[in-house]
Amino acid sequence: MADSNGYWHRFHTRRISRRRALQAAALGGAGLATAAIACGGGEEEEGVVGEATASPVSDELKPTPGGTYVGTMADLYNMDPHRPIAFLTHVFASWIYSRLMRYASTYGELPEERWYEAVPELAQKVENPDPQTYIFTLNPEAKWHNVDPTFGRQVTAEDVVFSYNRYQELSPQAVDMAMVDSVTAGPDDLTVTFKLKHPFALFLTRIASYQDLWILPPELIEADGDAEKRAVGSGPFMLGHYNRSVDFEFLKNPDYFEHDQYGNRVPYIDVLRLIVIPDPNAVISQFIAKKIYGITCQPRLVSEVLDSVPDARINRMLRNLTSFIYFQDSSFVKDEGPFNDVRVRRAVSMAVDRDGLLALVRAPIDDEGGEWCNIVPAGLGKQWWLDPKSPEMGEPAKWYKYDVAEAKKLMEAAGYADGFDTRLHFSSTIYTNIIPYYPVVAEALPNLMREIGINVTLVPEDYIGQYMPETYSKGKFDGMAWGLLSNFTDALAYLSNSFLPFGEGGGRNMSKVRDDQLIADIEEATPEPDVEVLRTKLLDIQRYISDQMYYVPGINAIDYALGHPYGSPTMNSTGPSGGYGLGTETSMWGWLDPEHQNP
Amino acid sequence: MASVGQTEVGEYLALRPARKPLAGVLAALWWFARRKPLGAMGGVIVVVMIVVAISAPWIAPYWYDDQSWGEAMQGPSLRHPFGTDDLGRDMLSRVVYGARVSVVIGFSAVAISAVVATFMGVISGYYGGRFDTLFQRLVDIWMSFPALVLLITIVSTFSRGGVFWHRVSAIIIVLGIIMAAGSSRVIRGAAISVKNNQYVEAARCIGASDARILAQHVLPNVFAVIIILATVQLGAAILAESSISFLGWGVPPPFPSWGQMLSNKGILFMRAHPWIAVWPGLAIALSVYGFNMLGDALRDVLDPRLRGGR
Amino acid sequence: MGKYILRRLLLVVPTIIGVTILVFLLIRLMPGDVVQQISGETAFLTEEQRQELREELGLDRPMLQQYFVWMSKTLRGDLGTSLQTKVAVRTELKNRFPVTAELGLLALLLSLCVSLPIGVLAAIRQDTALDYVARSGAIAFLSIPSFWMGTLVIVLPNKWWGWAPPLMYKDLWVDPLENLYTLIIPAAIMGMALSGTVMRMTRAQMLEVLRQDYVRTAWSKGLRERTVVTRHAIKNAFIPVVTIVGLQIPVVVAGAVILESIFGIPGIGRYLLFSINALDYPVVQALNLIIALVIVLTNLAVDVTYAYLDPRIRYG
Repeated sequence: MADSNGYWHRFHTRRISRRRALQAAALGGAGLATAAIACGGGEEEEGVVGEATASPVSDELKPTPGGTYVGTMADLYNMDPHRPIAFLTHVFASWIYSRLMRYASTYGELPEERWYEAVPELAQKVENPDPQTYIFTLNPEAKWHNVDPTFGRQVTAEDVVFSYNRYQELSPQAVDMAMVDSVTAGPDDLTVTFKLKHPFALFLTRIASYQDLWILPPELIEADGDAEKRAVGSGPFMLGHYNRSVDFEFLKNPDYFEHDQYGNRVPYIDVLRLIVIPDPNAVISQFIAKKIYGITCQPRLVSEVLDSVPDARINRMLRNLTSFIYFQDSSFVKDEGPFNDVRVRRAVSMAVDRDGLLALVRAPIDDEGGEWCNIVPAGLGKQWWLDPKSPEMGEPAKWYKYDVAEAKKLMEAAGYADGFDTRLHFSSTIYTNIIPYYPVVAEALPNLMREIGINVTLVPEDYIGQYMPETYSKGKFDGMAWGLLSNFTDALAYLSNSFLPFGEGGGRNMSKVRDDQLIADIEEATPEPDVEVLRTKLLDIQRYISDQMYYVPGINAIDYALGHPYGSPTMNSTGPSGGYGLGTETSMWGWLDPEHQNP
Repeated sequence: MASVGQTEVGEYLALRPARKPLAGVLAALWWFARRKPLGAMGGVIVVVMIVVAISAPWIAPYWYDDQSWGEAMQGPSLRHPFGTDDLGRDMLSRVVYGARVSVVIGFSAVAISAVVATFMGVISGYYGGRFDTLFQRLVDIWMSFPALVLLITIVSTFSRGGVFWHRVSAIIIVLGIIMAAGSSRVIRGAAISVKNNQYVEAARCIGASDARILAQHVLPNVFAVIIILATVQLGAAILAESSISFLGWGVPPPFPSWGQMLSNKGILFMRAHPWIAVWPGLAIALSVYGFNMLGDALRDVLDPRLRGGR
Repeated sequence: MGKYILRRLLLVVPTIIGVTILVFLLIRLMPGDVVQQISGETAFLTEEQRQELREELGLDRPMLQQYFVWMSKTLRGDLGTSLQTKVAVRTELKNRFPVTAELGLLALLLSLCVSLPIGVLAAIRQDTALDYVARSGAIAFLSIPSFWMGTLVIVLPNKWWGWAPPLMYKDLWVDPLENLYTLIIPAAIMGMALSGTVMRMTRAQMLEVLRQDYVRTAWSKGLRERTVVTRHAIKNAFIPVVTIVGLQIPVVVAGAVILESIFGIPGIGRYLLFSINALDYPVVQALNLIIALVIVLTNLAVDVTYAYLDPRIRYG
């Protein structure tokens, strides 16, 4: 999970509920442009997709180029995006490297229908002659950084093939591209053909994912053996320096191939300086002292910061991050109680006061905000996420309602009228800084469970030594665990990873759930070529898993980012998620007004 | 180093008949309070802390994990004199319960340290020779490691799947052993000077066994040193617990420990809700202060030569 | 004297060897699968792949062999490479060690500037209000956890005046003023904790010295207080204080780990913390070794200095 900082923040003078803001955007209100040139909707349509680059600039906004933007970033564990040790590596990659496609972004809020819509990046044009073939034509202006060892040469199809092979070989995420059969270059330098093993309606969304296919230059790997010592790509920024524990300096790539719709090159800013500030209080202090321009803020400190910086812009982000409770794998592997009984699982879900938790973790300036996720997070948008509060959820909606009395009845019916003792494992490091609500909910859960008779002992685990390698990756724990699901960018990824057999595509199926009908449904949905049909199937699956509660979903709380109003209005990439593809979806579209160009 | 008979307390006690021991003790305490007011204040703090820790379930107005989300992050009020934390738990109650953790960790660690250090220091100092050289090398090695680093490394090693008692035991044992190293040196020094004392020589001439000499002469003299070291180390143990909490290896939630409350949520919310930090912080500062003042005063009283008494 | 130094030096050797063994074992005891950790957050390697990685890192060989390999590399100056970042430990050490050293030295200096005079004064004016205030103050300083002090310094002036500490660390030779400005606050906080001990030690030693016969002679000669104190007492009182200063190094390191994290100083403390949390064996090993060595050598230097200054003292 990344410590991503939204740098460009939407301007809100008063509390606005997200739904009203969505309406405003849809009506083109508030003078915010939603000019996106990528052709609407149809990655799945046959034919040509997206000829021009997506530029969110409008007539009213006059970008002033130049200047240095100062923000914060955490220390990296490593720099090679094909071998990431932590998610942060991908955030770093988004400034330096390019993908074939990226996600749409805009100033202000992107309409929900366009969240995670794939738009061209390195690939200027995509042809989809049959459901299993995608032909990408690279942008002829795309060049590698003009430094050793690439010296500004053109990005070619061979580079893409090289990167794909390396990614398949090294990346722990490679299973995300399991549907690809072959990648070939030709007939010319700019054409790459992906042949799939079966149709995959969301292929372009998948290939735009910011945790997968980064395109790296072969020379770099040949010279250095890996991408750890130097970072040279084709992205909007070049790495000036990275002084570990001190700062990052990214310099504008003067030859970057994307332009705004008026023909101006992006990025607008000259230098992006990110300081490594380990202490959260220091981050806020530096922000208030106007030395850094944007931060993510602990929700319950937002009012405090606003007192000191009344004109700060607030960006409310609904990430594609699912929080959930998972159970010991013996429940499903050996059919051992108590969690093998669906009634107990439903009771657990009904004991979770989701609205109460959302209110607890929200910034006091807001009266509402945050959603109930199911395994698919709310951050993917309503077209892919089945909202438990919506009528579409149907019968299983009752398992999400906070109803202690009903839950107790279920426990009784399952034979646990007296309750039982169990343990709740959670990560006590890493997540705590990045996702503010995670530790709070972990501490709140025992209280909630107690009401239905489950006596929970909290077991905090060190993320790197225990939680990640044992509990999360292998499901080696007893009782329950509270976790976060990696940020995939399409619903099918969430569902496949969570419910396919562990080790056979079920990378996040740590509880080793094995529901053959469910597996069949997912496998049947996977090669569905029609997006609308796929959507319906995935919604159906979400309804089913909500009924079974194999994993009990938690909440999708709002994250807050604050920024000084020093230039471009708030950027939003991929809807309000504050996106991880920061480089291309956020930073490069931002500018500083003339009086704030020099820190 | 003087033997017991020559200290001020010793002189004082020698003058008063031991017929009414309780009165004697009270009188001694009163005398101490008048001579060393700061030290006495320190002593009071220690006693209060222990009493609070023992009686926590009875004097705390709420249970330590009594969450009331609607009342989260509130300042001091009638219902919650110390305010509430981010989950609506009463801070006063949590500070009171937190005393238990500090007392348990502090006293246990010091006890371990005292036992280990006394054993090592006395054997090393009294017998000398090869034991001495070996032990001193071990102590050298042990003391070459900064305590905090050793603490994190070992505690993280042995309690990654941290349940309360694993974590607490690990902290206690490691702290105890780390502190024992430094203490053993001091005790060794004390044992050496006793060894060279005339009383001991005389006893040996008479043919008293080593064990008898140790019990009758060495230990009583070393005892004063142990007590003084203990009081100072209690303070150090409490501070160490808070530091280790700050680095992420402290007592696991929801059990309140002053160090955990201060270093975890306390400093996080400091700018907007300072009382989550202030009360545990004050508790830590006050108790460490108290222990040290007491230790200082005891040192003055029990062995005037050590610290220049008059 | 020479014999003493030689003896002392010889004793250092087994200590150092013991230190290396302890460091080596400590890290190997840490559970958590390093291989899992370095292969990625979401890695699902096969057992085969994991074994390969283990071989590559030398983690599959017997302990004794690993120890000797490590020792021979270290003696040649190769301190290992980080498992995560692939940067040589030596490079990082070269960058970071001076920073922590500067922080520590500044802290010691500040601490001495404050605690020595106050210790002397408290001794001369024993049992007066000044004495009580000084002693209480010293203890109060070391009663406050340093991370709390650090946070207060970052938060309160920011709330009241919008001030924040310097944003980025600058090397001493790049921008000396900025460098000192960045380090002075954490150094002061660290110094605060150190001065408690040093002050009390100074006071105690001064008291001890003031009762000596030669001082009494000086008084009876009718010398002024200032002369007595400065010309006769202080020099002798400060000798044991040298020992105390040497013993503060471990405290400095501990303080560095905490304060560097709070004030964003790129020193060894932070590096160590990061590496312990990341299960980066080679780095943790190397750092522990270096720190322990520094302490051992400092103690040696202190002992030798003490012996040089006070020939009456000999260790048994």
